[in-house]
Amino acid sequence: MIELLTSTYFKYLIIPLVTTFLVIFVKSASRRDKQPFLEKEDFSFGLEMGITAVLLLFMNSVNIAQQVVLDNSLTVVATEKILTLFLVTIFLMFGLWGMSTIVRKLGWENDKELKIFWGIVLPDVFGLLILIYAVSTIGNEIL
Amino acid sequence: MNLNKIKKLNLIYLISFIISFIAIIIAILSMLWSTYLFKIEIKFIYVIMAIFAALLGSLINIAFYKLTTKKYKSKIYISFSDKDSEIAQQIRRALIHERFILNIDEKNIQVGENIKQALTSEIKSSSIFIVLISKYSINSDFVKLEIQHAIKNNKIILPVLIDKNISIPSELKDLKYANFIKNQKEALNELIIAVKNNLKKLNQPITKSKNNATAANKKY
Repeated sequence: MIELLTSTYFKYLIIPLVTTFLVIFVKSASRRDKQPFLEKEDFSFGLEMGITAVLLLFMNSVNIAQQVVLDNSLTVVATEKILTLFLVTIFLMFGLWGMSTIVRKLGWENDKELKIFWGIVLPDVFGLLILIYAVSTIGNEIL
Repeated sequence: MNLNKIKKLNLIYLISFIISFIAIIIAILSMLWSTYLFKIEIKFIYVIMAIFAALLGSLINIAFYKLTTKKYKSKIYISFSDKDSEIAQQIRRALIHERFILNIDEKNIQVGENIKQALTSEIKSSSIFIVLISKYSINSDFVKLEIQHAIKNNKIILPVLIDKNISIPSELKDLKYANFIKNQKEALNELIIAVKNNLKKLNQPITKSKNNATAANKKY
């Protein structure tokens, strides 16, 4: 079990798979009964995935900062690295805001339907990139 | 709205676009920069694996949806005038997508075959009769005949109104119709729900035999 959890496959295969499945499933399952179970819009999971990944990174920065406070042997370089990670998290938040604006302005076919590329594929790829970055950074020895 | 206001709005629109794109590019560059700084190794194959996993996650959802959605054995008959064939095809596609079985299209009737007889037998073998009410269909002899057959054979009739300012045939006046004039998508959803609920009442999922269901047909 531990081997599976620490393997590369778990990071880059199981985590994106489970996240995608859960986001789509929860979105479609919570829809009112009058509407169909699965709609095209449910496949736009990128922004939700991105938010989850950014929150994970944010919590990771907090954890590392606590380690630095507790361990006096950690150098100034370590502090700089934490600041870098924190800065990246802030940039990613802005990136998500930017992507939301792009979806809002370019992603809608009409009042209810999203466009395939601007509304679904682009935010999905972006969200997935942030998730890949988050799973690679978390657990990596950056100090 | 005057020209200056429009120009100002366009400028704000353009600026928000540019800022959004810049924010996205900075976010991507910051990720790349920090992976280099922290010596994090993200191989190309990992990205491919993650994209594949996301696609797989989506496919599992689709498979789950297909497995949990019942496939109904009862047939649905759609009655319409030729001039409304575009909207009829739209309804047809939506019902097929929901895994309902529809009556044969007039196009599938062979040359030399009696159209009236073929369609009458199709109505008899269907449980639900959907009729598109339009300015053309209320004057169509075929549609009138089909409605008569549906009533005679105790079929469940679901009217769909697609044209404004028309008088609904007296036989259908008391039935609630799906209003395609007001909101097409909403009306289509209402129609699908009505079909599903009526088939449920008839106990017509794939496990039940067709004969049992025909006996339970309800006259409106």
